[in-house]
Amino acid sequence: MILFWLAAGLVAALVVGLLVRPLLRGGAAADRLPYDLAVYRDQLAEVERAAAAGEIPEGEAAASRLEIERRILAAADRAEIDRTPPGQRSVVAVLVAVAVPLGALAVYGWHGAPRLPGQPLAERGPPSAAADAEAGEKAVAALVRRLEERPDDLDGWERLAQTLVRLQRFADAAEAYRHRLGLGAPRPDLHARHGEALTLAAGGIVTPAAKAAFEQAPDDPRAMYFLGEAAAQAGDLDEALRRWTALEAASAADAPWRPVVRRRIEEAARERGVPVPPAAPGTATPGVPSGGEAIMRLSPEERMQAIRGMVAGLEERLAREPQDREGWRRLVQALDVLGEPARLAAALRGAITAYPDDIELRLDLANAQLEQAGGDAVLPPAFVETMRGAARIAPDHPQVLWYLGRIAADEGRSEEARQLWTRLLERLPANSPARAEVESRRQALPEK
Amino acid sequence: MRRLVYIVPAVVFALIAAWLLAGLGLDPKALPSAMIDKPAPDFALPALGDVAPPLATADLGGEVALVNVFASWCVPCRAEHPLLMRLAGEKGVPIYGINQKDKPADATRFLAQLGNPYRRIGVDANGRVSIEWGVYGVPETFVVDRAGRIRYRHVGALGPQDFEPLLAMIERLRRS
Repeated sequence: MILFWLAAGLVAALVVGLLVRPLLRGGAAADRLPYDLAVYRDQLAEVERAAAAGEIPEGEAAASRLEIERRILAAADRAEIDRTPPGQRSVVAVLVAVAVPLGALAVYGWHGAPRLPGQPLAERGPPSAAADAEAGEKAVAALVRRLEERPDDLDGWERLAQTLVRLQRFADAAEAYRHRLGLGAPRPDLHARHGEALTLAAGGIVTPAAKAAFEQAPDDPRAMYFLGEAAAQAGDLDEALRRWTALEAASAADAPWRPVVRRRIEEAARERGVPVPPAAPGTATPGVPSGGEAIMRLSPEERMQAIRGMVAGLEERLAREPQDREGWRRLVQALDVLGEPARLAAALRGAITAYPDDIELRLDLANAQLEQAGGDAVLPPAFVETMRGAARIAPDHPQVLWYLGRIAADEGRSEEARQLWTRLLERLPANSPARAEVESRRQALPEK
Repeated sequence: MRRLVYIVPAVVFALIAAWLLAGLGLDPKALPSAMIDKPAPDFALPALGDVAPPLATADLGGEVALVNVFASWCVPCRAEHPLLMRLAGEKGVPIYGINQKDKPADATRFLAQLGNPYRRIGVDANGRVSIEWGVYGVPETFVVDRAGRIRYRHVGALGPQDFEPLLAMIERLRRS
């Protein structure tokens, strides 16, 4: 953007310079007048002399005289034009210097697009798009091979369809979704994704087939959005507005599609010439504690104060009624925000007592204990105990396998550590960045 | 006297600039049509495979209908297609298609994907019949009354704002 203004300014300056230069340099013709007149006078004298000496006939001499007099008049005329006073000329120069950039700005403001964001090369998407596509094509090839062996792999078909959408092969993706749905076990979001792929394959037009797919999932947000789009495309803006406002009312306050839906509602209302319906407040957001939106509007100090108050209330309530998973989750989240690992660990212990089978709670506790200890270089005893508890519930969880291996290695049981890490490597995806770390640790284990 | 040499080109330039500037604000869709209120031109076009029967002058008239000029390569045609589908399906308006300068395979795929709102389709491979209709570009839509006369012409894609006026016009022509 700055580059554009620099270039525009440079061009304007150049134009002003070209226009103003002759004005300021001014009366070259006027300055030359005395010299021109002297030359013509000499020429006249020469003609007189030659005529008197009889070197040229009288008729010719008269013609020459006439020609020279004409030139004298012309020179005087030129000088006359040029003899605008210098003061007046600089006024014109200043006017030009002001009017040219102002005029250019006015025309740009009228027909240009000053609000269009700049598109520097660096921001036009990562140059690794090609590499990305290549990785995607590889993933597709691998999935297709797998599906050839196990054609009824529901999950495989879904992953294939999603990968194809990411690669913008929408028609193929729609076909994959169709095939997946043909295998049974339909889900509303699958119908909606199928419809979306069909719509994208048709360049954004909700085709009859796409509409039929969306109608299979009338409560899916994606389907609700596109059914509104279908109505708008068919010229039924009232129906589109009904569908979009219904979607907005059914969406959480922080649903990622909210801004898009709101924009479409505003556009449709404007096009239809009806007042824009007010934004529906949205259902309570599961992610934000109640009153979350009000909290977001406070200053940072006030926000911390409000969270502290809420935490104290929650702790008290959960001590009395521990069977409240949502309450524990909010408490853990809030203590994490406040950065109080000791209180966080205590809260997690309370939550684990209430929900002993929740592996996530135990792993959260283990993480909080590591944080309290300042890293996992040395595993604190409380952490080891938590991990052993977690291992009883989910012995194959990657994190559990990793740390049980660490504990075994620390305690000198190399063979057990080797077995645990071998199991972990079997479970990690081939492209997992953690593999290298696990491999090198396993190799570093002392032989028996 | 000599100043005139400088002033005249400047004035001429200013006039041309003003004229061009005024042109920027004109609506390119507000084109006059010589065909309005005239009978539809005499033509007979072959069918598009077995997608729909062929279209000829004799098929028009008797019923108020739309004649829509379309092509699979035309992006605005896609945009207006759902609207035609609704007019034909929900509102029962007869729509006849002129498929202009298109490959039959492409046109068939286009209609298979987006649906076929047309009762009849005439394939205008070289665009000659479109010229007789006075078509400037695709898409274009004509309203033909019961006497087979062209009553209205819409240049460009039909949008949501066109739906109700178009329907009202068809209703009016049906009654008259």
